[in-house]
Amino acid sequence: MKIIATYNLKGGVGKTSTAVNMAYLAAKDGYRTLLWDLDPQGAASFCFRVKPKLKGGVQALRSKRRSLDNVVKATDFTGLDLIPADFSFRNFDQVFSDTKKPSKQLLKLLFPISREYDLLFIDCAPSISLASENIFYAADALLIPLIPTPFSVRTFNQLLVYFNKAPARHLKLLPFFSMYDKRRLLHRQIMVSLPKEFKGMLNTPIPYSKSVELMGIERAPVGTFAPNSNPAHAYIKLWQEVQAKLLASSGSKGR
Amino acid sequence: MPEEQLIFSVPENLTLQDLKTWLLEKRLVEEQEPVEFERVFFDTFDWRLLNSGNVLEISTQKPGYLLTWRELGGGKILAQSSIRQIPHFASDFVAPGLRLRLSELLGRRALIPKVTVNSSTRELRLINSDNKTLMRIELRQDHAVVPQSSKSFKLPDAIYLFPLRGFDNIFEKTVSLISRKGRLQPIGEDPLVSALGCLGIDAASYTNAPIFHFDPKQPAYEALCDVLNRYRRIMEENLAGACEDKDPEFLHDFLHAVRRTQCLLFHYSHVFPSKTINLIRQDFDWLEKITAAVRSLDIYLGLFDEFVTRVDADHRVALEPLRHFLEAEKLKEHQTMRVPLESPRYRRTMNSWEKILTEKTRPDGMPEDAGKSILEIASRGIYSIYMELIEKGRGITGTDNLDALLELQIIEKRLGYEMETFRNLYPKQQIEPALAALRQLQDNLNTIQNLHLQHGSLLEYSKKMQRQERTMPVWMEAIELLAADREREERKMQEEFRTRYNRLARKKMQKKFRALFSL
Repeated sequence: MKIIATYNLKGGVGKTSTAVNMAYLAAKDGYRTLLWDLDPQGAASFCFRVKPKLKGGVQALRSKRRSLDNVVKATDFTGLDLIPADFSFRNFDQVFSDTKKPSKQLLKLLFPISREYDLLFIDCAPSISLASENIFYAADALLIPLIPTPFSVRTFNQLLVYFNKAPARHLKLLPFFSMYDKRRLLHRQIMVSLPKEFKGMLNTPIPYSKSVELMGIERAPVGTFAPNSNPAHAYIKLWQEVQAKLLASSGSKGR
Repeated sequence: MPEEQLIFSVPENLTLQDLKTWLLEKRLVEEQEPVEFERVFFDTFDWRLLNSGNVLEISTQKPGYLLTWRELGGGKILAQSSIRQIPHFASDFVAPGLRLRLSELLGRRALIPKVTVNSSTRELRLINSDNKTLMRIELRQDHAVVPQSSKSFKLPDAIYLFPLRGFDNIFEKTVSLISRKGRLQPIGEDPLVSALGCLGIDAASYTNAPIFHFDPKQPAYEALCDVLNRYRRIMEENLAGACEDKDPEFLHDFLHAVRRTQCLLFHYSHVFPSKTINLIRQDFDWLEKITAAVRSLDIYLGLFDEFVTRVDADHRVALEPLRHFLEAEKLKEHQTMRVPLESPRYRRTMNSWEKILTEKTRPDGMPEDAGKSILEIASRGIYSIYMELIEKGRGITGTDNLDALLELQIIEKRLGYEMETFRNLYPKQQIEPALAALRQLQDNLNTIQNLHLQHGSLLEYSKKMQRQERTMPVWMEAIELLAADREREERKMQEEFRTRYNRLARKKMQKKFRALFSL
């Protein structure tokens, strides 16, 4: 099972939209796909109309009263399942901090379902914490949406500094531009300059669009209600890029 | 993804409205628009999926398709995916997990469309207040389509219950509710199995041999035309696959149909006008000639892994050049074979053959036997071949008369073809023991013939290799060792001939054959 996490320290940059749309497209392409809504806000769960509730919360996972394969819910889309969010995920750090190897607990939790799925997308909360460390340890790639603004670039650089100090060799960083507005000169400038500084940027940007905002009303991936929109096409291209970088020559290996 | 689906028979008078009414007592229900779609069941030529309790169906779901891989009988769903294109092989699947799991079952065999079903469905979704689907219920009306015709067979109507993972409680309660209210019974037979039965397809047979049902009183000419038409359709179904050479079993099935046609035309020539029959027999001899070489090479390549185990460890690697040689020969021969198969001559042959077989009125100059019952003609034919086999086998000991054995094998093969074709004319409890006894001898004679051919071919190939390319002595040595092994095995089988023959020729068995076939 390959694990792809949508991650950024900054909130409101398009992590959930990315996770939801990528997971939908992966399932459409025949991958057995799971989306884990690890953000206590539960926006991904909301998009798929699944109640953000885990019986017993994160504590139940920790104490093994519940295992992840008991909490998975099918979405309305063929091949796509969801682990819903729960407000108790905000306590992830507290709950797991006293375990042995605390940064490896997420991977342990995933073990019972790792053979059932080809792909796991994780929609992460905007933080840097023990939960994030667990994600960095478990994931094969971080999909990092960046709004092309100076503050966003600054936050991205902070993340790079973090990884320089605590390298995770297996982890591919896949930043891409999100919510860009081609009318804004600043956006255009940053979209030219940043790829020169960081060579690993994905080529496909996702435009700012009303269609993406409508996901919160339609409660569905953008490809279902606006299949001919710019963001729908952009997400398809982004998914193809991610596929090529991570999945092209593999069996379902992952970690 | 849904884990289990359940399939129930639809009781008489049960309507979708009934289901909706019961469900509305407890849940919100949304009725979907009725949908009609085509469902195609795929499997390998040798029914690997079905024989291992699996069903793979692909239904149209614009713009792509929906693949469902499930357990036979409506059990666990093993995979359900949207796919953009219909795959030919497990390796064609994009999703790696599906690719790997199917590869374990399918190996390198091609996925072939086996049965097409036209489905009309009406669907209900149980939903919650967020409009989230909790389970799906489908009422399906299916028709199994007869290949290359506009005919279809109606299958039993069925109710499909699809759970959604994580909503098991609702699923169990709903199943309990509608089973109780509707007095539902699980469907007796998987819809695929029902469809196969309607179409006369024997899934247990690796060669996909068609099963024929006859009215014993049917005139022999018409009955034989039906049989030959079926073989003609098998040839047409496998032609493209044989030309593309993605899976050798296409050519196998094609040639098998050719040979069965040749056999029937030879033995029942007295039922057809001689002018018609002579022309057609020439055409089929031509077809056999242009395809046989490629088929032989396919067989040897298929056996190669076994060949390697028949020589000592020191010579195993030395056999690899032979494999490369056979692959190159196969490529050459296949290119040669393709030309006549894709030629106007082939098309004219098949078109005129189809015309002959499907014409309702009998042509002029029909022999007397054409109008006799198929039971009489088939019985006479089978009995005469059986007696010929017994007579000719009488003097053969097995170990000293190889030519006679090979000649006997040809007779035995004809007898087998005919008994298989016409088996349903006879009571099962009587014909099965006769077939079982024949098969024992068949195994022996077919193996002798195969080993004999392999021995000769291997020596021929080795000579050809030496003429065409630089070879090393150790390679030639390895091939000779293999050829010698084939010869030794052939002699062993020859020693078993007498015992097998005696079982078929003993007085008790002759009495059975006489009672069954001698009218």
